[in-house]
Order: sequence, then structure tokens, then C-alpha cells
Amino acid sequence: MAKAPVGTKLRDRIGSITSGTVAWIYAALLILPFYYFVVSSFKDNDGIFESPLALPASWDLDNFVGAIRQASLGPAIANSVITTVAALALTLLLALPASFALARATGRAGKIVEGLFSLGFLIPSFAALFPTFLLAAAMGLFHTRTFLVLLLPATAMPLAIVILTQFMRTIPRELEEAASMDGASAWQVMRQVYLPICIPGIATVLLLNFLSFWNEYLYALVLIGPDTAQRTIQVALPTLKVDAGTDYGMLMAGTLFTLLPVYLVYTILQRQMQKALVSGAIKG
Amino acid sequence: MAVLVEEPPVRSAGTPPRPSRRRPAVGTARGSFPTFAIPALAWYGVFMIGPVVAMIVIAFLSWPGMLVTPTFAGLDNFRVLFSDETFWAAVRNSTVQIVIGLPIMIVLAFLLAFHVVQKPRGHRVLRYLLFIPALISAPATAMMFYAMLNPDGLVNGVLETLGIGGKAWLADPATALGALIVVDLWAGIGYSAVLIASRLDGVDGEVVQAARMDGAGSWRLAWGVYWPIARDFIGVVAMLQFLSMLFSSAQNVLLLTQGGPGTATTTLSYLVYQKAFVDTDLGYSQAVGVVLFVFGLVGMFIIRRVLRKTH
Amino acid sequence: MTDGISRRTLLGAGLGAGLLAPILAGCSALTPASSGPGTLSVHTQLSGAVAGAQTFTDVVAAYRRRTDRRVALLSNGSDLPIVFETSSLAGKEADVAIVNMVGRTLSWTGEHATVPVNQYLDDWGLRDLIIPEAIDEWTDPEGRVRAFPFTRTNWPVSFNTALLEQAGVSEIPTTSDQLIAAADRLRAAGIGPVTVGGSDWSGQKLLMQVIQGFVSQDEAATVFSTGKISESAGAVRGVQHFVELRDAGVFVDSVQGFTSDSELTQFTTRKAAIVPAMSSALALVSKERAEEVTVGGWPVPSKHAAIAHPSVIKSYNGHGIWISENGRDKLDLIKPFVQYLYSAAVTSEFVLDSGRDMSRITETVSRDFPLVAQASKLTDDQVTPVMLPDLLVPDSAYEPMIRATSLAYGSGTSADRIIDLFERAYTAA
Repeated sequence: MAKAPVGTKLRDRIGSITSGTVAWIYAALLILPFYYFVVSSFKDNDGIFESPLALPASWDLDNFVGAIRQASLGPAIANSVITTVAALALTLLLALPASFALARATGRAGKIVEGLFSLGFLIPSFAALFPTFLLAAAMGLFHTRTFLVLLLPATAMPLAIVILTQFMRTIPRELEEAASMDGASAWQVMRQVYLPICIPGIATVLLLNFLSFWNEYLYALVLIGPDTAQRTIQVALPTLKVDAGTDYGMLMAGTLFTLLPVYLVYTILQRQMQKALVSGAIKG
Repeated sequence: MAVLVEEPPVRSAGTPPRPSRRRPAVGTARGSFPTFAIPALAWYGVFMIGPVVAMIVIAFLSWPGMLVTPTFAGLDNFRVLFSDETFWAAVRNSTVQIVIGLPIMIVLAFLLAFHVVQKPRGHRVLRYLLFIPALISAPATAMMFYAMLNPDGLVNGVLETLGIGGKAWLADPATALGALIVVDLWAGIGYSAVLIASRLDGVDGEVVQAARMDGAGSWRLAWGVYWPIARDFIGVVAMLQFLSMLFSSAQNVLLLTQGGPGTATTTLSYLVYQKAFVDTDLGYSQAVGVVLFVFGLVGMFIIRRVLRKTH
Repeated sequence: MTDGISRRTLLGAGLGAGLLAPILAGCSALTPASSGPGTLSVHTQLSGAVAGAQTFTDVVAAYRRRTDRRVALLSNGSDLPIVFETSSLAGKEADVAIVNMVGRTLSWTGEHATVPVNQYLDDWGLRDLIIPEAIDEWTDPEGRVRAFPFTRTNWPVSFNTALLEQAGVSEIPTTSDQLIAAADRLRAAGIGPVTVGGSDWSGQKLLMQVIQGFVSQDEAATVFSTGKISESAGAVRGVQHFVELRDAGVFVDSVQGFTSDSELTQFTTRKAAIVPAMSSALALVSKERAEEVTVGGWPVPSKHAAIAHPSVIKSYNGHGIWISENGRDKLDLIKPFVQYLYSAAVTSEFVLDSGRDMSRITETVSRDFPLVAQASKLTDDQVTPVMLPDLLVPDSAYEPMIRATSLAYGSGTSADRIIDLFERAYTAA
């Protein structure tokens, strides 16, 4: 085959420089804000605005204490943990049997149900916020964590079911028939045959939704409301931004505090998390 | 940003269609109706489908205040909508946000992914970093940018040391929307790049080798080899981000500018929130919701066409 | 794979235990606020970083300890009215709301979201304890007292004298001509002149304050309740004066996008020299900054003025204690709580510890909050009091008007367009 003409050589050189530069510029644009806000967490307003990039004069934790006290971040983190864990559990409780059934279902009913779930992504989130509020009110669960715990799994159903169904479909019929011949009930078949093979899928669903549930803001804001004893960390954080003059040091300290749990999980489970998100999109 | 979305499942070649008549659905759990799926279905129906149906119903009601009783209004809400300049401002803003933001995001994400996949020096660090914005919730990102974009904040501080004047980014109607697009890009490029990189990882090494031996440099490699192969997947990523930008902009706007100054940053999704929870014009709000829904469908269709599989 | 699973399970267990500990420790802190019939739920705007928030929390905690009763606090900022209304729609609003009269809350009494307190003022022995003018201000046109007036406020203008001197301005401007001259000097010295939250309620207040420099208080009342600026020659002049000030560069650049938050930050970090703000915001200014600040009024117009001195908005419209429909069933719980809040001791605590001005009659004057004290000491010879228009602006016009005023702060908006937008805000509702 003929060699590439000279003109494109220049383009190629530019190309490699460009993508490299883009990459490192973006990396810098990622690191800089983080540096700024970590450093600002230890300063007061004057320090933040006078010399934004300078290291703080002292590393005392005043801003953190202030932020935690003022926005009641302690209960807020606990609430985030409670709602996230409960919602994750409920998601699995609903999705596993459903994917089990769908993976083994024959006939049109199964296909229709699966199709219904896959339409989930078309739902304009936030547009249906007000009707969801009405639902909560009708159920008498307005301004409770409970409603959010009930709602979140529903939003996670489509993707969870698609991922888990695909896993369950890979199980060869022979394995299952062997188990049923041994006299196992459907329930036991699910537990002993399907579940172990689905562990990667389950992990994916858990990681994906952990992020999604933990970071949920708008619904938590409206549905749980102002009760400091119930609100999650995402709702509590913006309360540090005040009409009467924000203390930016405390705001940044509070932000840093809310990011720690997620960052911890990410550092430990980095590869799994990335894989989860990727397969989430691929399955979709 | 991280929105749970998916494409309708591709009919997998692995499950051969089974004529339902042959096997009677009796006794065994392998019945033709997925009973175990009923709880999930019920949940989904009540919490997701229900509110959407309600949204459509309310769009036809006149409900001008939380404490006021709603009455039927036919197409009134839509009529008011289409003659309201705030609505058209929102349409304009959402369109600008997506038409400018989405292509930039996808192109830059692709370049980033391409670079990382070449495994240059520091690519592991890069992969670690790229993903971090995806972890951060909307409130945390917004608070960070709120401090940075403050008229006396980091961005202006840096610009001033470089000799360029700073601006009130969130305050100036000319730059407010741009600032929001930047926030979207900051958060979304990394995530998109990680997704695309995973797809590019799967490109057959031999194809790449062949192209290189052919004398292809980076540019041709990226656009001539990787892009066509990954195009379909990139289309999926584009749809994901499109939906995210369209539907989730309400959060960022609420946290940063509340639609202002004037209507400079009122996007369609924020308009739904604002009309419901600030102006409490509930019928109008849900009517905008319906429009948003349609917008979403149209946009998905367009992206699908543009980034279809070519081979 | 099994290795991975067991490692992960271990990690999971460790993380779980680490996270569960604080939960179990703080379990009581996680019980929902409105649980139990014996609990009084209070939805308060005195929360977060606002002046008086900590005092209020302390005061309520002391009440709990002393009476062994349960009081649950729900907090919101400027979004309190909408959250309260959403709760009301769900039938789950708090028993007591602590918020000012503005926009949405003006319709609460009429829509029976809250109950009038006329009777309780007398029955609970509170009428004699509260400043009569405050009660008047909190009474609606039908004679119903909307809520118990709790905190009050004035809105002086703060001048950073150190920055002014730096720019070569030796005296605080008291007329509009002086203000324009001072602004020129400040800009030449690279300092922002007047900063205000053009995009929210703080900017709206200033615009209406400027208008009040040209009309009598009665005429102002008419203009603000009907919105018909064009029918008042004085009000039209007011808008034109505003445009004149704006175009002369009196406001900092991009003012139309600022919020009350950014205006105060600008002032306290010395980026701008002049800010009109609530006295309660002044309580939050640091001591060292307060030393270089003098408090005064908005400069009187040099021509056609209807007032004698620089203007300061004076109002009893701070926070009020409202009783909701749900609260109507818990009057036995509310009565001791409210009486407690109006006790002399609590009032003094607010004045001294948080720098708030209270509507409860008291002799206590704030010592540690020099600017608040300065503001309350301004006499009628120094400043002319003007009204806070919040009470007159109809609920439905409130938000559209704020959007209209934010456009007014943008350079290039003519006086005629401002008047038009203003009037349309009233009719569009």
C-alpha cells in the first residue's frame, strides 16, 4: 500500500500533540479546582479572595467544625448512609427475582415486561418531580426518608434489570435442570444456581446505584425537606450558601467533608467502579 | 451527569424464539408469565410511570397555586406557554446548551480517550483522574464552582495575574449560560472519556498495527481507525450525556444562578422546577414538562441518526 | 475471583462497621422531627448562618431542658415559604413558622394556611409587651394580625470610610451629586462603589427606596400596591434618577447578576465601599471591618427630592411567629413556647448575643455589635425613614418584579422600559 502523503504527516504530528495536550490540560483543569477548594477549606473569606492559590496560614479545622455544626452534617451523613443502604437493598430485592423471571420467561408477556422497563430512560427526571411529591403526600409519606427509600429503587429498576437479566441468561439450562431434578423449588434454584453466577452483575448494580443514590439531590431536597434529622448530606451542603454573606471557607470545608465517603469508596474500588459504569452504559 | 439510562435491548441471537404452544406453563417455574417480576413492575409502575402520567394530566389543568384547587383548562397552558417569552428563552437556552456543549464534550472526550488508550506515560494517573468528576455530586460541584466563579474568586484571580480582566461569570447575562456549560463540560468530559476509552480498549490491536505500518499518524489513527469502529458506542455515550444535560440542568441552575440574571440561564428543565416550586403555576410547569419530554425524544432520534453504525 | 470476593466482603464489612458506628451513636438525632403528638414542630428562618440563628437554637434548647417538652426545629432560608406551602398542601406543615411578611406569606392568613393571632395577643398577655407600631404593621387590611412580630429590621447604608479616604473622598456622600462624585473617585482608585444584589430582593429594595426619595409615603403606598409608576410623576422621576445613577457608574460592574450574598462578600472583603444591607447582616461583619465602617442613609436626591435627609428603610417586618392550621390543634403547646420567646431574658439574649433588633419592648442595647447599635441610633435629623414595600406588593407580583428589577440594573435598560417591566409584573400575575 502507498505511504501516506507528506501533508498528513504534519497533521498527524499535530494530532498527537493535540490529544496529549488536551489530556493534560484537562487533567490540570481537574486538579486545580480541587487544590483550590481543599486549600480554601482552611482559610477564611479574606484569605480566599485575596490569595486564592496560596497555602493556608494554618491547618486548623475551625471551618470543618463550623460547617458540621451549622449545617448539621453529622446526622446528614448518617441519613445518606441509611437511605442509600436501604434503597440498595430494596433494589436488589426487587430486581433479582424480576431478572430471574425475565431470563427464564418464554413468550410475549416476558418480552413486553422487558420492553416496559427499557423505556425507563425516556422518563424526564425532574419534570415529574411535582407529581411525585403529590404521590408522597397521598401516601402520607411526605417529608420522610422512607419515601425516598421507596422511590429510588424504582428509578434504578430499568438498568438493574437489564444488567441482571443478561447475566442470568448466560446460565446454561442444564445446570438449572440438574437442580430441579434434585427437587429444588424455584426459589432454591434462584439462590443456589443463579445468584452465585450473578455476583459480578450484582456488584455492578450496587456500585452504579451507590453513586446515583448517594448523589441524589433534587428529589431528596423536595421530598425529605428541611428536617435536619432526616435530610441527606447533599441537601444539607448547599445550606452553607447563605443570603446573608456566605462563609466560603466553611462552604468549601463542608464540600470536602461530603466528598470524603465517595472518594474513599472510589480509591478502594476504583477499577470495579469504572468497570461498573462502563458496563452500565454498554448494557444500555 | 450520572443518569441511569439505556438503549432498548438488542434482540440477542442467543435466545432462539420458542413457540409458546409447545411447552405448557404448568407446575414448573419456567412459566410464560414472569410472576417474580411483578413486585418490580408494580414498583416501577407506581413510582415512575404514575408520576409521568400525572404530569401529562396536570398539564391540562389550571392550578395556579399550591393551596388553590385545580380546574380543567384544556389547552390553555400550552397556549400561554407558546406565547410566553420566558418559555422561548428557555428553549433557546436549552438548545444553546446542548448544541454547543454536547459536540464539544464528545469530541474532547474522544480525543482524551484516544490519548489514554495509546498508553502514554502517566496514563494510569490520567485514568484515575478522569473519573473523579463523575463521582462528585451536583451540589458539591456547584458549590465548588460557586466559589471559583465568584467575582473575587479563583478564576478571576488567575485571569488577573495573567493580565486579562476578570468578569462576574455567573452575574453577567452574556457569560452566565456559558459558565453553566463549562460546569457541564468539566463534569462530563472525564466520565465520557472513561466510557469511550473502555470501548477503544476493545479495538483489535491488529487493525491498529496495520494502520500504523501503513504510515498512519495519530490524527488518521484517531479519526480514520478508532472513530468509525467506536462510532456506535460513542452514539450511546452522546445520548446518555444529552439526556443528562437536558434533564438534569435544573439542579445546576438551581444551585448556581436560579435561572438568572433575568432569564439568561433558565433552561427548560429549570423552568419546570421554577414554575412548580417558585411561581407555583403548576399546570404551566407540567406543560413544560411535556414539551421537555418531546424534546428528549426528538434529540435522541437525531443523535441516533447522526452517530449510527456505518458498517 | 473468590479472592476478590472475600477481600471485598472484608472491606465492605470494615466500611460498614465504620459507618454504622456514628449512626448508632446519633440515633436519637435521626428521629423525624414531627413524630409524636406531644412534639411542637417549628419551621424557622432563623437558621444557618443568619444572625440570631445560634441564639435561637440555644434558646430552644434551654426551653427543652427547662420544661422537658419536645420541640422539633425545621430550618430553611429564603425558600421557607415555598417549603411551608408544599408541606401545607400535603397536610404536614409545621405547627409554628418563623418567617417575615413577603410575597407568598402575605396570602397565608387569607388562604387559611395560618391563623390570625389577635385573640392570643390578648389571652396570652403579649399585647403589652410588643411595640404597638409593630403590631400595626403586622395587621392585614381586614384587621387580622397575621403573626406575632418577633424581630424587626432596618436597612441602613454602610460606608467603608477607610476605602473612601483611600480614594480621596473625605466625607460620606449624603446627596446624589456627592454620591456620583464619590463613585468617580472610587472607580479611579480601582475600588467598587455601590454593591447590591441586583438579581434578587436586595436590589429590588434599593430601587424602590430610590423611588421613595421622590414621593410622599402615601403616594409610595399607592404606587407599590398598584404598580402604576407611570401615574405618579414623582415615581417616574425616581426611576429616571435611578437610571441616571446607574449610568454614572454608581453601581459596581455586573451588578445585575449579584445576589445579597455576593454584595456582602464584596463589602466585607473590601472590594466595594458602599452597601445597603439589613441591620442583621451588619451583625455578621467582623470587628476589624466594623471599625472602618460608618452607617448612614441612601443619599438624598440633589433635585426634586421629596425627603429631607438620606433615607433608611425602617420596618417591623423582621421575623414573625405564625401559627399554622396544624398548630391550631396544639395551642396548649404553643402558648408556653411563645410566652417564653417573649420573656425579657430571651429578648435580651437576642439583642446582646446576636445583634438582632427585637419587636418586644426592651431597654437592652447591643454592645458587641457596633454597626447594629449605630444603625439603631440614627435619628430623624440624620435620616428619613421610608417604608419597606414588601407588605404592599401583591404576592403574585413579587417574583416577576424581582426579575423586572434585575433587568433594571443592566446597563442599557431605559427608564421607560423599566417602568413598563415593573407595571407588567403586576398585571402578568
